[in-house]
Amino acid sequence: MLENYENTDYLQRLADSLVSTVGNDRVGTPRFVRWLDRIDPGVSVDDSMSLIVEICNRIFGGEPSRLKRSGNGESHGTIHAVWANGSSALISVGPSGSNESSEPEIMLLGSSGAIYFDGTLGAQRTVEQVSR
Amino acid sequence: MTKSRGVLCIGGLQTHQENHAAGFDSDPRSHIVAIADEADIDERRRSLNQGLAVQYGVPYIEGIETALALPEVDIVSICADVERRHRVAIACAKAGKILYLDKPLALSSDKAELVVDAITESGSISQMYSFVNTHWAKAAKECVESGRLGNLLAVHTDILFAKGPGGTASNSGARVETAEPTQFTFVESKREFFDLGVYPIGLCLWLIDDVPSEVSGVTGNYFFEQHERNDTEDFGAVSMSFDGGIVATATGGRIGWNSHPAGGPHRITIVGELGTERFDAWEPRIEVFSTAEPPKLPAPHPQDPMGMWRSTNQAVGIPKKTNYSPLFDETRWYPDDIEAFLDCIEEGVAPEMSAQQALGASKVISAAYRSAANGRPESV
Repeated sequence: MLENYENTDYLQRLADSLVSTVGNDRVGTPRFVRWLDRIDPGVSVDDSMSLIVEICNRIFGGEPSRLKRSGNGESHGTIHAVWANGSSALISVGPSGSNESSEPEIMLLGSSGAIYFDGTLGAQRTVEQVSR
Repeated sequence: MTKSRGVLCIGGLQTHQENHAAGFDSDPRSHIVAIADEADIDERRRSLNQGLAVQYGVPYIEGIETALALPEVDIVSICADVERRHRVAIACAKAGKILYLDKPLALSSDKAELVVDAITESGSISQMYSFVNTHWAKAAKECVESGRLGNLLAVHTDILFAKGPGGTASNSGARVETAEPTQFTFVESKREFFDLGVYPIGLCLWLIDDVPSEVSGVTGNYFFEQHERNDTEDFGAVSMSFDGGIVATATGGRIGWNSHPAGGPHRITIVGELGTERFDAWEPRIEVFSTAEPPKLPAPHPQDPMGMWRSTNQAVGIPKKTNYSPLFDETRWYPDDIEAFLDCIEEGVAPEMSAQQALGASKVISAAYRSAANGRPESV
């Protein structure tokens, strides 16, 4: 999804929706964000993750006090960030597949509720693994 | 058909032995011989152990050595409090018994290593309860082994339990973690990253088939005042770096009954060079919305406000949530794991989550506590 950010207001609307839901006290104090995203070849992993950190900064109201990056920096990366009030985030981007939706998956945990955004990727079939 | 194997259960009601014992009791290849525990335990624990013995109509035995001497014991299912679990497990391994172990193996990676050493020396078959025998974890493993996503780049796993009355934490600031926690067991709460984080971390290491070299961890008191009061985290997250360049992340914790339409987020995301696939415990499912009165969380059981145990959940009548109706729900997870264990015994093969395999998760959890306490990445 991030490769489309400059061309559409999709991400902006998504970020605004998250921030306003938190601001309206629907889930209590925001405590954790899990953001999994996919990028096309040629799109910067670091730039993509930085965009998501900025959104998390809006959600948590400040910049992280601790930030650990991992991954190869080319095709995939992960940021583990912690804010001064103890809130935290795991942000990961990886390659998009040729037939995949590029919408992210987001889980925002608040002290009294949660927000889920599952994009359109959907889970894989698992029924073949059920033995009965 | 092979003879039914005798199972000695260590630990009783208000432990995972409620689930283990039910699984062994329902499988025709095993039967419960006795309930036992160490002699020097408190009255509350003794009474709860005796309660399980009454439930199955078997004797309660005080003293591990006495119980292990029973000639009909083939398998020991160990759910001793984690503070003394290593001691019990080592004694059972030295007695040459087949072991079904509660998770995690022990309260620290050092003690878990002692358990694994004893099991390796005895040559016993062992299995720690985990999610590797669920249909969604097996599908994720099949994805990795098929190579259809190209080289593996990352694995992301969340196992969060939507149980307990959330929204009560004070949100007073960052949790101050202890590098080497020593007390884990309380009536009102437990260390959730330790107790539940072992699931997603174990899944990551099993899927990647390796142990990370470095971890960055954080724990929090995000949801429950009970955890805050007992200085036990209700949530933890960890990022793991492997020598080959693979990255894994995991979250484990308890987020509150109202924070998910089913049992809580239980999902695995596999990232490869050619794309991403997700495996979710609650998919495939139908979703139901109607004018019917939605289920409500009843007043908590005084002995189990977090809804940890089958018996106390039944006692207060915790209802099943109704919005999600998965085609395959969680009721088979315990029996399936025990069935897979008994299959391995019959076939003489090592279980997927043997004690040796499970040791990696204990190492990561210990390193993650150090990282959370020190505020920097730690080597495993």
